[in-house]
Amino acid sequence: MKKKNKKGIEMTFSWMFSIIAGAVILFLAIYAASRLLKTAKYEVSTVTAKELSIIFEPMETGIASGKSIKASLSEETKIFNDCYDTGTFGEQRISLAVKKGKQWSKPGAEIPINNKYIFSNATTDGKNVYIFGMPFEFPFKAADIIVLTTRSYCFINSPDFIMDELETLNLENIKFEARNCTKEDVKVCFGSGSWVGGKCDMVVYGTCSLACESDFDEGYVYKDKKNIYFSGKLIYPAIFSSPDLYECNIKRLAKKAGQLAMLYKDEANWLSTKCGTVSSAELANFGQQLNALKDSRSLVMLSGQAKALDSQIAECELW
Amino acid sequence: MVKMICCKNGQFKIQQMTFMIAAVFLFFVLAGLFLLSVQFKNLRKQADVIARNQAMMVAEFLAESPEFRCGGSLGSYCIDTDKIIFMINRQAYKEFWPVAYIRVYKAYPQNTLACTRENYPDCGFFEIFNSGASSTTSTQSFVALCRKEKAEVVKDVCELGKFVIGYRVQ
Repeated sequence: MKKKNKKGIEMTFSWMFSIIAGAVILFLAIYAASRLLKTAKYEVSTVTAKELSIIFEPMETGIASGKSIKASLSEETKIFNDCYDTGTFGEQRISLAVKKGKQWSKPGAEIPINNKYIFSNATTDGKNVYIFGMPFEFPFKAADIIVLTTRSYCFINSPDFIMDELETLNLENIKFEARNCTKEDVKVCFGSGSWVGGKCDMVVYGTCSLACESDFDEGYVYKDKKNIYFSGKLIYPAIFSSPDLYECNIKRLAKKAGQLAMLYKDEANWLSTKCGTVSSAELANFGQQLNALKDSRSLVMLSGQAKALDSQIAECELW
Repeated sequence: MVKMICCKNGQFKIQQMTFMIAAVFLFFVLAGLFLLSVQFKNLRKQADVIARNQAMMVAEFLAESPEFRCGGSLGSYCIDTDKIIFMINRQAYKEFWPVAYIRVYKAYPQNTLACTRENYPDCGFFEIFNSGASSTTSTQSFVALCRKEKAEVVKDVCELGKFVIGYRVQ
């Protein structure tokens, strides 16, 4: 009979210790590396968001009627745009997440912006970001409205002035010929909810009837089962941004216009000994109404008052 | 006696291992700290560059914002001093602009007197806003400073001025 070998594998203490210590060190190294990688991704997202927020600065139009810019990002990026209407001017917070494989990374830190009015969808993603800015005058220039898009749009039956204004801005992601529309395009119809090619993603209705250059000087956009109201240049933010973000930014814009009305009131008082200006009492009243504005519909209702203020003939022009 | 030699030898080995592990651990900690400090330094540098870029952009375009620019047909890079005199320390705008301070200087004649509603327009500079930040640097651009003056008729009187934006540095 063969004798069975009962001897196991002999392992010295030093071997066991080395294996355990090695495993722990390896685990810690891998953990630290993955944490560093995550932090680096977070850092990149945050820095890109900050840089994106700086791009908005040159969108200040001055005497120009509009400005546009195309930002090409190195990776597929998701932009989160949050809006808060509390405080004197309200605030927006921009954050970014980048796509790695099929998954989105955790969004970077939120970059607060309180002196810009950025209209976009609450979340929007893509590699190319199209940004354009236009002055918002009510009746004086209150701020520049900045529209940020990543998707392509197809405008169906759009009025000529919209085509002219957007074509001047040279935006690659907006088409005006219905026959060129593709399945991926967001279809924006003017005046009617359908067209020969099918259903529209949103419909723009013009309601201006008195002293208007176009029906679309005032009106509303029906999208996501909601009506959002616009006046003048606000037609663009109404088309390109999500309803909640639009309403929030309208309140912020109204607050800014309200503060400016108060500033012009002070200047009007100061200049009243030298020359005739717009009535400071009317400016104060207008400012108060703007500060207490509830929604986009109330803003459109105030547009008559804005036009009346603008038409006051004065020796000294305040704006 | 033999047993004693065996155990002392084992204890020595454990001590040796412990020191080795402590040394390796210390090495990784130090290497990690070094890496973090380098990364942190780069991040600070990046933050400074971004702050400077932002301030330069703000300086270039802030003069065009409705709180400062002239009304009517006076055009670009023109600051309405009749308006900015009311912007001095305006509480609502305390945290509105992402800058450390905004000052508007008259380029000539130089005057160190800060403008108030009482001494305007016989003063040297307008301190529109100051966050009180201690370590700052600035960027500036030349602008026209215009105000309304009444002689026989009301006219715009314009002078050369400097628009100075301060921003925080780390």
